[in-house]
This record gives sequence, C-alpha cells and structure tokens, in this order.
Amino acid sequence: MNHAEHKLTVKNVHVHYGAVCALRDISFEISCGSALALIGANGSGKSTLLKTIIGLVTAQQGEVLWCGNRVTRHRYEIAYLPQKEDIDWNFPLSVRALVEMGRYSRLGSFKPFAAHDHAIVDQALEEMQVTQLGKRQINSLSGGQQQRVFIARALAQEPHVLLLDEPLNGLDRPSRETLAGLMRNLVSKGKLIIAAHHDIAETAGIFDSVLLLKRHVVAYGAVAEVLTPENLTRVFS
Amino acid sequence: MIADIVDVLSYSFNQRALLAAAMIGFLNGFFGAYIVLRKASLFAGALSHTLFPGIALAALISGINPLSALIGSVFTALVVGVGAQRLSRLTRVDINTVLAILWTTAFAGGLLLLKSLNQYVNIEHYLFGDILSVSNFDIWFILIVGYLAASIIILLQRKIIIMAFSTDGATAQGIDVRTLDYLMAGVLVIVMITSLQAVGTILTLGLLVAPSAIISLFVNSPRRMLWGGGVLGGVLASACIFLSNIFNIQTGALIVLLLGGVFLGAALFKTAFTLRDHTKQCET
Repeated sequence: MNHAEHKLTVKNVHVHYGAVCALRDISFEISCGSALALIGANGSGKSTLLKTIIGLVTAQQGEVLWCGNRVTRHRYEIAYLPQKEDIDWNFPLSVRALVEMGRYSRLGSFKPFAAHDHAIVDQALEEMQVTQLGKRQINSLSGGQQQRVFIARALAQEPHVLLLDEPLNGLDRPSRETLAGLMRNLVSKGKLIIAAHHDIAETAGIFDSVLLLKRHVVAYGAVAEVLTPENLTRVFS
Repeated sequence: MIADIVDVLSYSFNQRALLAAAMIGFLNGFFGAYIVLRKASLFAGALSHTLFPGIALAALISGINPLSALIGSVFTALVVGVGAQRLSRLTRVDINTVLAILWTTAFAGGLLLLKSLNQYVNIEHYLFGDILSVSNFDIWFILIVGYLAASIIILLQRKIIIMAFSTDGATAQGIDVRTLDYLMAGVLVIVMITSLQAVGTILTLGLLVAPSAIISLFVNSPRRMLWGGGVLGGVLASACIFLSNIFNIQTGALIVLLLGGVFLGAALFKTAFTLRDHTKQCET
C-alpha cells in the first residue's frame, strides 16, 4: 500500500460541549504524504477537531476512519502533540526518556525495550536534530527544541499521522523556519501532518492544503484556492 | 550506641516493628512517587482521612482486624471518592471543595461512631499508629498486601508514568485513563491501610509523599523516584524504630517528623547549591 492509499476520513462529525455546539457536520478526507492546516479564529474548533480525531473528545455523531476502519483500532498510527501550555515541563524527564515513551504504545506493558526500539528512538532524535540534547531535562529546552523533541517522541511511535496543536506558536523566526523545514521533510517521507495553525502568511510554505474552520467547514482544498480574501473574511469576521 | 541497638533488637516486638517499618516505609515511598508525579497529594490526603470512618464501620459490623479495616476503608474511600466526583458534576461545586466536605463529614461520623460503640477501641492507635504493637498476623498482612500493591505498580509502570505525565497523552496512546485512575486509587487505599500500624490515618500522608519528594530534588527520572523513594522510606522508617526506643519517643510521629526534617534540609541544600551554580555561571 503506497502513501496515497493511507487515508484519514472524517465523516459528518458533530461535537457538543453540553448545549454548546463545538463542531458541526465536519467532513473531509486526506491522504498520507501531505500537510493540512486547520485555520480559524479562537474557539473555531481547531483543537477540538484534533482531539476528536485522536479520540480525546467523543463525537456525538459521525466517525473518524483510518484506511476505512475506526481510528480506535489503529491508535498507534496517529500521534498527537498537545499545545505547549498543556504540558508539565517540570516533570522529571530527560529528552531521551521522553522520546522513549513514544515506543510504549507499540510495546505495551510487558514487551522489553529492545535494541530495535533504541534504534528507532535514535533515528527519531536524529530526524528532529535533537540527538545532542538526549541527556538534557525537558524543562531546560527552548520553545523550538521542545516542539522538535515532542515530534521526535511522536515519530518514535512510528505513526502515519501527526496531529499538531499550534506547533509554531510562540517560536522565534529561526526556530519556526527550522521546524517548518523538518515538517516538510516528514511529509516528503510520506507522513500526514494535520496542524492547527494561525499564521496565514507562512501557510503556503509549509502546508499543501487548508481547512478553514468556524465550527463548521467554511472551505477545504489547496492553499491557494482556499485562502482567498472572501473566505478569510467569512472565517474571521 | 551499638549496645543500644543490640538492646533494641533483643525484644521480639522490636524485631517485628523493624520488619514492619522497613516494609511499610519502602511500600509508601515507592507508591508515593506516583502520587507526587501525578500531583495528587491533596487527593491522597483526603482519602487517608476516609480510612478512619471505614475502620469505625468495620468495628461496628464485625470488630476490628486488618482485613475488616481494609474492607471498611476501601468502602468509605470509594463512597467519598466517587461520591465527590458525581456531586461535583451535578452541582458544579469544585471537586476539591466537595471532597473536603465529604471527608471531614465522614471523619466526624467515624469519630462519633467509634465513641458510641460499647467495645473498647483505642482511637489514638488508629489516628497516630502504634508500630511496636504489630503482631505476626500484621506482618504477614503487610507482606502479602504490600507485595500485591508493589507488583501492580511494577507491572503497570510504563502506563502509570505516561498517565502521570499527561492524561491526554495517555489517552491518545490508547491507555484507559479512567480505569487506571480507579485502580491506582484502590492501590493507594491498600498502601495506606498497611501503614496504619506505623503512623495512623492522620500521619500516613507524610510517610507516603515525603520520601519521593526528597528524592525528586536530586533525580530526574520517574523510575529513580519510585525506587529511591522506596529505599529512603524503608531506611528512615527503620532508623526510627531504633531512635524512638533510644530516646523514648512515639515512633509514628518520629517517622513523619524525621521525613519532614530531611525534606526541609534537602530543599535548603538544593536551593543553596542551585544558587551557587547560577552565580558561578553568571561570573563566567
């Protein structure tokens, strides 16, 4: 099966928090080997959509499928990175230990951490250019390093899909450029990246497609087709 | 000093107390690391106070022994723990507020219940512990229950560490966080029951969280916190058997006092050390 045949399908998803409608009738389909930006104002449902895809939020209606099956049957195929603010950076963990945690969903409680697993962790650290940080504590990292380390942890899980919640938020320009380059590199290797994003200007350089969100899908398609002044006015007005 | 130690060990009740202190100290320090990592110390504190009404209930129904105390305590902990969650959801009153009301209510109820029973019950024994009175049955009980609790923690440590780090991350990795949380709450009650003999329901929280909190100042790995907390808890609790005999001080209070003192000393040492490092870095 090639990358294009690995498909994530979101079908008629509705999410309510009590009486509040967070997502209404969300549907789209996307294949591996591409990057999708979720763009919308605060409260438009970007984070909720990512959490619904991974199963942290339960959809009242609709379903999320991976290659035609419910994603709950393929948890380790999808890795999720929460927003930086949702992470306890003072937790006593070295960078390497954090990345090793990515293997646990594959290994379960009892399989030993073998040489093969160490090799995958080494590769993930190398791919995100953080090998030299392996012994550092996670609270001593810069914002850009933190994001790269967390993506390395996700890669150690060997997923096909990476869900990133505002990965470039709060980073300085050099860090954003480095991370954007690494994200493109992952896409070229066949990963599917879906990221909540808010910088319209840099969207085209990182993502292949855009889903404009205002609790429902305003527009979905290639970056140039979707990011029109009319659509942006509809989303941010 | 050596003569004092030999003298202490010449009594069989002291030998049993030493064995119990080592096991209880290790188990509490070991499991306490999870509580510290999960930032659940206050929840554990609330739960520790529900042990007492559980014991009172056990006394009312079948008389007090370690097994009936365990069953009674698990029951009241479950009622208070789950009840607080449900009530909080129904009323939108903060979970910590509901928990505080429920455990104090349960504690007061337990106190009145025990006082009203016709049979003689030494309340202070359960509130503050009396490790010198442990029986052979108690030792076996601590050993078996402690072994089970430690086995659960060791077998599930990967999941436990992921969940302590981030519940969302754990759920995203396919871990059933709610079930694991309930299981850990059950293990917490069991661990605290084993420490009743040593420090009682009031002081058990100190023995639970202080060892791993001390270790956390010097290590940066959850596993080192687990094992380091266990070893430190076991060593300090054992040392208190000798010290309490030599200086004629109540053992349970001394264990918690010593742990608190070591924590404060370690925190001051760590702060001074970190400040010195920062100053050196600034100078260079």
